[in-house]
Order: sequence, then C-alpha cells, then structure tokens
Amino acid sequence: MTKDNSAQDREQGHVTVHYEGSPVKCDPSKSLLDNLLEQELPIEHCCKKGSCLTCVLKTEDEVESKSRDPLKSTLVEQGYFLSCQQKPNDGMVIQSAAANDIFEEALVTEMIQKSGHVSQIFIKPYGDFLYKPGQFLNIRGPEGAVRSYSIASLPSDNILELHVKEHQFGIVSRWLCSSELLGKEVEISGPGGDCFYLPGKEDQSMLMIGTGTGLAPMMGILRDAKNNNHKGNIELYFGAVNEEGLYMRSELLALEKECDNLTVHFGTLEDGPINEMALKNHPDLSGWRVFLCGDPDMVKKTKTKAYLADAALTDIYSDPFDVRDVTL
Amino acid sequence: MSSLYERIGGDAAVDAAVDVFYKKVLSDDSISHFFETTDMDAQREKQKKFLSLAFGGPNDYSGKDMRAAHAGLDGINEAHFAAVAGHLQATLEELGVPAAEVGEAMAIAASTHDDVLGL
Repeated sequence: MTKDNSAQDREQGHVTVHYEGSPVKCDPSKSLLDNLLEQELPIEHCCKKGSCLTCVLKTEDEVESKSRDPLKSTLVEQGYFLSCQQKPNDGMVIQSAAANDIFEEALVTEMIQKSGHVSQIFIKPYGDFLYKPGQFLNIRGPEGAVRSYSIASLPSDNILELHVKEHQFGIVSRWLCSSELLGKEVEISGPGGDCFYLPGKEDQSMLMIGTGTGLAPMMGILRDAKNNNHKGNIELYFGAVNEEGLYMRSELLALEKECDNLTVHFGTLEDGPINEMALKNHPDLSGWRVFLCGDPDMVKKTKTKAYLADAALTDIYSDPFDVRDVTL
Repeated sequence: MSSLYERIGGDAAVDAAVDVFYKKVLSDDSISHFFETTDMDAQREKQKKFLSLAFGGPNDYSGKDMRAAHAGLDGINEAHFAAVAGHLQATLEELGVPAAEVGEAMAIAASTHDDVLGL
C-alpha cells in the first residue's frame, strides 16, 4: 500500500504551504522567506531580520506577532506579514504582495550631487506621508527591486530628502542617482524603523555615530531634537572612508554654529575607526542616549560596546545599513 | 516559606541582575562569540528567562527549551558551561545575595548542565 506524498512529507518533517495557488514543500525549521527563495520564487527581500519591511506577503491564516508588529496597521489589516519572521505552517495559503497595496507614487523634484558618489534626492509624495525624522522608506526600483533609504528631512520641510550612495553594481542606487529620474515618479512605501528622537528627556546627553550615508537619519534626528528644545549635550561623530566621503561637512558645521549644545566630530579611515574615537572620548555612557547608523558591522559592534559602557539597552537606537548583495 | 525567587527579590531583582550578568558574559572572550547577535534586546530577554529559571522563578524556560536553545552551538564544552556558571555566581555575589540563596541558585543552574551541553 503506498502512502500519499503529503503523509510522507510530514514524516520527513516537511510541511506544505500554498503560494499563489501552487503547493510548496517547506522545511519548518527555516523561515517562509528562505523556503520560498530555495524554490527560486522571486520574493523581494533584503535584511532577513525583520527590519527592512521588504519581504511582505499576504495571508488570511494565523501568523506570529513578530511578523506583524513592525508593519503599519493598514497593511496588517489587509493580511500582510514579514515572511522572514514567519515559519511555514502546514496548509498556509499565501499570496504575493500587490504593489498597489504597499507602494504609493511620489515625484522626484530635485537632485544634488555631493562628494563621494552621494546624491541628495528630494521626493514629493502625492499623498500624506507621515513619518518621524530618522525613519526610513522603501523605494521600488528596476526589476521590482526594493531598497530602504533613511529619510533626512523633517515633515515640516514638506519634501522627503534621501541621501543615496551610488554603488558600482547597485541596481537601485545607480537608477536613483541618474539624472533621468528628475521630474519622474517613483514608488515609495513606509515609513519604517524606530531610530528616531523621542521627546521627554531633554537634558539627556546624546551620542550619535554615523558612517557614510548613515548621516542621513542623523540630520533629521538632530533637527528634530533641536525643535524639541533638547538641552543635553549632543556629540555627533561622522565617519567615512576618506575626505570625499564626508559629504556634508559644511552643512554640519553650520548646524553646529546654530546649536550651542552640539559638537561635531569628523573622521576618515586614516584617523582610525570613528566609533572607537567616540567611545574613547566618552568611556562612560551611563544615562546617555545613543544613535548608531550606517555600516552594519560598526552598528553591531558599537551597540555592544555602548552597552558595556553602561548605556541602557533601551537607550541605544541602531539602524544598520545592510547592503543587498547583487548577483550578476 | 517563600520561594527562592521571592526571597531573592522577584522580577525586580532579576531585572537588576540581568544587565550585570549579560555584561560579564559579553566581556568574556572565551564565550562572547556564542552571544554575538544583532538582536541584543531578544538576547537580554533570554538571559532574563535563564536567570528566572536559576532562581526557581516563574518558568517560561524548560529544560527542553534550554536543550533546544543550545543545540546549534558549535563546540560548546565544559569550560564554556563553567565560565557562564562562574559569571552567574559572581553576579549574585555582586548584588549582595546571601550565600545560602546563591548556593540554591547555583544548584539549579548546575542542573541544566546536560541540557546545555546536549548530553
């Protein structure tokens, strides 16, 4: 007597989900995203950590709260969840994300080329795009590729400002940095992330470390802190590979002049790692608020070091800029 | 007679202990690689559950969970177990927990030995 395939699969520990109407055999110990990617299904994704909000899929079945918590309620109501934070459940029925549900149109109104292959890109959403300075948005680029970019502007600027570094083989960054996009529409979604200023502790000292375009969210957070009358000492450390990479020197120096509680420190690789410079200058971080943005390695290591320097874990805000590997 | 968990000071005591313990573990080069993670908040929660377990407190963390949690750890051995146990003891002593209670907590921690090392 032969057993049917599904019974055999269950015996081997596999489960079956239905994606876009077709059955997919899954390993229940891996995330739904990894399972679908293994089957060569083209699911957009980036960080695989539940932060970038790119790998959204849709279901009417039960999902874990961690796959829903980072998403805004309008998406949750429609059944969206993060596939990297969900294990496949037997019998789950899943649909791909509908771009209309996730993305909205916005107009690229201005582009300014800065040094170090970084462009300041200004985007005007057609609808209300509510966000807190320091959060990020997702942009849908060529071939449906989705990437996250931190927002450098304040809502009161009435324009979204992004700082985009053009990577040599970057599908989305090269497209974004090309002047052809001026006056054209792009699709954005979001916002996401919890790297932003919270009012309430205005006397707290703040340490901010950004590498490369990790400066973008810092600019928003800094101005937000200033608008909220933050009185505590703010120490901003901006690091880049070389002098060219310090793409916003003059703007930062101008901001420093305006705020008597802000001190800006610049550093290139020659000066040694910027995070070590910061930690050496401020070895005791008890009571401090810490913002870390940019290179994922730096962010991860510095979070640990800041914690060991006695900053409370809840006072450390980190935003790692994971770069999506492009397979050529 | 109140439980060890209550005598030590309950959830507040565990919360005070977890940062002391977690930092000791992160600063120990012989074991810190096991604790390398991008999600330190989740990691801290796990440490907190372990400490609750060690105090015989409300138990979200069973022996089976301890076994599963350590199953993937490459090369985990006696020395690693001893190092973590040592940091637990040092944490309790640093926080002024009376010797008898430290003994009780360490006995509970010792009982996780086989689950942690997958024996």
